[in-house]
Amino acid sequence: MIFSKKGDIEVTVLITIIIAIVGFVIILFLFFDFDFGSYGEDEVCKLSVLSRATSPTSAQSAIPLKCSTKKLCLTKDGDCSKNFAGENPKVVKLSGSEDEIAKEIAKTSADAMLNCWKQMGEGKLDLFGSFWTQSGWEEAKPTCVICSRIAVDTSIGKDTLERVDINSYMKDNVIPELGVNYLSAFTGGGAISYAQSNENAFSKFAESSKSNIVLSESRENRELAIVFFQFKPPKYEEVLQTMAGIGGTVAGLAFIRPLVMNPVGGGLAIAGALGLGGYGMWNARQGQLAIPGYCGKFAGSRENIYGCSMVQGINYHTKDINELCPQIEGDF
Amino acid sequence: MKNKRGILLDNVLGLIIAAIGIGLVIFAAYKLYSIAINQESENAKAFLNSIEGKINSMNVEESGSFQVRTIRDWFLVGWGKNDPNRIDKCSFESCICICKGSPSDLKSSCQINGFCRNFNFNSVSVFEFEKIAGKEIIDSNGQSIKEEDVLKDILNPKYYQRRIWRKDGIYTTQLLNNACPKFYESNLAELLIYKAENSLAVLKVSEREAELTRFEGACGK
Repeated sequence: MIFSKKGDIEVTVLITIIIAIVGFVIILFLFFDFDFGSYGEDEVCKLSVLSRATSPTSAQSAIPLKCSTKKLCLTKDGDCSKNFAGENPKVVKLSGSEDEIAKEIAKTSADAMLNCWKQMGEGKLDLFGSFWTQSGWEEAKPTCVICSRIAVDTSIGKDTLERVDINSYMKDNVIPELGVNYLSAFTGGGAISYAQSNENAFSKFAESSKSNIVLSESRENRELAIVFFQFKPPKYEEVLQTMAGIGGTVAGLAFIRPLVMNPVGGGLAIAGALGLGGYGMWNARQGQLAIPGYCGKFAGSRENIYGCSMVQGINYHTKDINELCPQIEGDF
Repeated sequence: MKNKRGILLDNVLGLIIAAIGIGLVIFAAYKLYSIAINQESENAKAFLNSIEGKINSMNVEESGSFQVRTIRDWFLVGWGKNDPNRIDKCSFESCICICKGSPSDLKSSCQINGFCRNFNFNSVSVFEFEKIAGKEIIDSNGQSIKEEDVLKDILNPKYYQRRIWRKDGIYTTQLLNNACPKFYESNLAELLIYKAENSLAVLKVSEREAELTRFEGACGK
């Protein structure tokens, strides 16, 4: 009982209320006055990933993903000004024989892929849910985060670039801290998870022969994007559940009740609910149908997959990136 | 039975707690919204900084193709020094702006919800160039031409000032759309930039399956 016979508040209740209010204020203070500036980029990114993953799926898109694209310039003595003009890349000087430089480029790319994979929750976290897709209003789309852009300066020759083989490096080299090779580190994430680099990484654009663009720079590719990709459209039952929740809440509103509690209003409400339900199911089906297109080649013989997460190394080129990623999140 | 004081306290306390709860929920929602908006604005500024850096790093008479991250529902627009419709934000210089909202209402979309960078060019032209998938660019004489030539033609007063971009104009299979290049998704876009002595052309290149049948008004002019 909250009140004593005299109408005074019980001491225990009062203490509980005070503790709850103080706790609330502390949480609010931590949440809104959190000094992100004192943390490194990686920590901020991890925090935002965790905040998203622990939020309800419908609210995830409202929480900003504070992950910035790392810009790396690999060079002998240049500054990648053609790739990063107006941006601030981290310049890494490379030296040694052609083979050594090629191996260093492959290692940097593989490490960037692993770092990206770890930061984004190793495929174990669902990060890109939104109210609109979860309730069937919008069709789910694959979403990406560009974790890194790695550019090789023109001071490193084409011959060296042609020796770079990131996929072989990931297969043949063991990560000392983990004791397994890179490819093994990318598996075991619950959902289908995969990592690979484009076979044409750091080589000419695949479409360059079809393109008639001849600009002052040659069209060889000197920039690789390390991309985290996730596609997990909602299942039918999830969409139905969200819709039922919304429908129930709307129908339960006091001012709506008189409208639906008569034959005409009730009929219209049922027709509307059926229409919206059908539309939501259709959108959910479109998402489910799109899964094999994006995830199928990585799923192998596994059936009934509900989505996938992966890290890819792709040429930093509009056509290549947009083909995989209809939408990209994170800071520039 | 509770006395009057008890009932009043019970209700008032409940009301206060409910009001605080609702207030906190509204405050949290507002904070989340403003964090998201702030991130979008920061990205818009980063986008402009990147374009500015690329333009400044180019030599005169040089053209370049750049891949840039885009922001959904924002558009690009530019004004030369002598453009009468230039927004106040550009003051007395030429500028390129990224704005949120409708290109038909540049005053509110750019002056209020936009970010601009000033340049020192007499003329600045920002266009969208839509290629027809699988077709070459051909001029009115049936000759195959490069995208770079299209870019330079934009700065040719003969074409630009008379605004003769149309279906049966110089580009028969690829068309210049004067409407401000709008970004419909947050992904990657290709920008072609040509820097001349006193003028600058920025082209957003996109690809479509069929030819355009409709043209919108000139972007920012």
